Amino acid sequence: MPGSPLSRFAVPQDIAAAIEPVSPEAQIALLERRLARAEAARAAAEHLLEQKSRVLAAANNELTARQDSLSTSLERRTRQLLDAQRVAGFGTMLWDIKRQQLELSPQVQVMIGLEPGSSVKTYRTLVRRLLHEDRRRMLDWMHGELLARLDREHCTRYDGQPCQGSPGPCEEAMREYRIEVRCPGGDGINEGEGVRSLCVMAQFQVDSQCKPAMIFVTVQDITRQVRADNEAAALRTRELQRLEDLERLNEALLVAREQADLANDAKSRFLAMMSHDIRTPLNGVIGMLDLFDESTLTAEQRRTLALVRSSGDQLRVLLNDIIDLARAEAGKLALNPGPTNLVEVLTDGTDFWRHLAHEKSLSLDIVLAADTPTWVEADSVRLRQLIDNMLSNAIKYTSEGGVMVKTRVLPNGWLRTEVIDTGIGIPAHRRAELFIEFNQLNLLGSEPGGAGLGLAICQRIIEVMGGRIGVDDAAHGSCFWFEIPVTRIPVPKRVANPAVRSFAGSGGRAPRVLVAEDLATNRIVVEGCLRKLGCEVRVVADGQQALDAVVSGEPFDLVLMDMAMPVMDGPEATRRIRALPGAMADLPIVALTAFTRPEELEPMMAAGANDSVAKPIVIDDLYRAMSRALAIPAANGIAH
Amino acid sequence: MDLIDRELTLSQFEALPPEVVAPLCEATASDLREWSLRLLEAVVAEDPEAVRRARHSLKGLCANFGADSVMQHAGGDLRPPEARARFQDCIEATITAVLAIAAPLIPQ
Repeated sequence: MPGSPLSRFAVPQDIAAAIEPVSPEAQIALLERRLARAEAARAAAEHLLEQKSRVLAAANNELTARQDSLSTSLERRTRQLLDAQRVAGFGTMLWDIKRQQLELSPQVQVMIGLEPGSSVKTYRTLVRRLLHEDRRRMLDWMHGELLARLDREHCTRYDGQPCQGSPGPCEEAMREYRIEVRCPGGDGINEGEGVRSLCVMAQFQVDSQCKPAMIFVTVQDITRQVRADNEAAALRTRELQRLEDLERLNEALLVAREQADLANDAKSRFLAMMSHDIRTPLNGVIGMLDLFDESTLTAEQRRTLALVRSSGDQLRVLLNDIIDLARAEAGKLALNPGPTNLVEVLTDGTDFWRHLAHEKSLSLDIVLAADTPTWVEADSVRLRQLIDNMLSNAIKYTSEGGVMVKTRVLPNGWLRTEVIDTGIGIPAHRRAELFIEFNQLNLLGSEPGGAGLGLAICQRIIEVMGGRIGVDDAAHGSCFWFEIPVTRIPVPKRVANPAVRSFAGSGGRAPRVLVAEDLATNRIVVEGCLRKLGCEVRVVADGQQALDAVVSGEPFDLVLMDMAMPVMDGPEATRRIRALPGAMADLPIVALTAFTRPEELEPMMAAGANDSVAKPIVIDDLYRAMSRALAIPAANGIAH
Repeated sequence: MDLIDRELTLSQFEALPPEVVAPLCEATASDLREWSLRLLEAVVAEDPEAVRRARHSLKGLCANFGADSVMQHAGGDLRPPEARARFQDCIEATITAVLAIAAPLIPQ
């Protein structure tokens, strides 16, 4: 019966059976069927229930496993975070404003000197852990800046509009509050010592209404950074101080240097001037000494004379050195390069010292390498000065054995000259002193003379030449050397100028010339030149014969006097002529010489010669020198 | 190295009266031989003053002809016999060279 209440509880067959007359058996069968269906339904329900339980159990197991995993992961990450904080010297704090609870990470507790896990309920506990002088500042910071934020009714959003009641973080929420404070403690390097510096940074965490809910605080140990900053600042301060000191010192040095330069200039000028002024009368004194007729002196007087002459010579050498040094210090030590016969300079220089070496029973040798150039472009005078100074020293400081001059050309084309002695040698640590002016090493206990200027001057000359100078050990003594750049040149064209001028036919009479020359070759050359110049000539072979010719009263207009001659040399003959009475003493004398150095010419000039002509005799040079000596304009004849 | 400077030597002779060329040649040969001998004697005698004097005279002589080769030998170590022999050879060669240049200038 559809729509009746029964239809909700019974299958149609049962309903049909219920409305028909039912036998007891049928009713039993009906009940059994109902029972069977109920059983089946129950079994199905139990099966479903069992399945559901299994699913639930599995789900539970899965959830439990995932929870365990998450817990483990969380625990690991927490541990890592704490480890990281410890390693980095970094800790965190969280202050729950509503609950008034403070959470500290263990690292913060360590940093402020608490045991990890200590109970800290208020920030005042933390403040008390700080240095006394920082506590007030910390409290002011907290109250004045941090907690004041809690009292504000409004905060400002990024767009400048009030955010009260509006959701989302605002500018205030993003703001960081920062302070640096200190507490007692070490930095892990010097445990238990010093002060620990902490950087505290705070940031609010706001709720959906932008009201502060919590304060998140980081604390970082910046002790090392602060110490480094302090040390860097101290270093900077010290450096600045040092810089200022150096600047002051530099200024003082500049002033001192200017004063020293001025003093040095004054000294150099004084020395140069005084030396020149002294040298002139000294030459006169030395020249006058030679006028003594030693044959009329007693032995004691001769010894005294020799001593005076020796002292005079030493003084002259010293004056020349001082003048050179003053010139060098004034930057006026200039070179006068020209065609130079290197072989001649070296051999002449060596020969000059041969006599002194012989007196000390020393050998003196010169070895010129096969590739030594004969002609170079150089300052022959300075070159000779170098040789003289080195040989003078070598002979002076050598008591037995000998001295050797060696010259060779280096691979770079420079000339290397060595002066090797068998003397006392020089300790390596004292060699630099050798080149300091007025400095003597006193290696012999007492110095054998000299002012200690020679090598200093040599060094100045070498500097100007652009070379090097030094001293090394030799097998049995010392090896002084210098290396200079030299330029080889071809043999200079020494073309004699054919005589185009003459004293003859100038209106005056032919000048009468006395020639004193010991070499027959040179006598012929000079005589030939003079005859070409229109002169009358008388030739003698030495200084004594020249003196005799002058004294005889023969009317000579001029004397050409060789310097090196037997019997009586040129300087001696010249001095004696100058000492003659009357007009004979004024006879013009021109020196003939193969010497090249002004110093070598000096004896003749000091003796009274008017001029000089270098060998080989070039007729034009001879003409000009004679014209000068006779005080007439060249090519104008004799003024008698 | 040339024994002498030919150009200089020629100009020296040409600058003189022709009649002195022959005497000059004789004097040159004589002086060179004499002073080279004196130098060698001084070297053997180990007389430094005599060595210096002889070298200086040779220098004055050689300057007339640019005889640098003679001066190079004279400036070297002349103690070894072979060095002395080379020096003397050089002197003779120099004399020959001077005479060869001067010969055409000697008046017949």
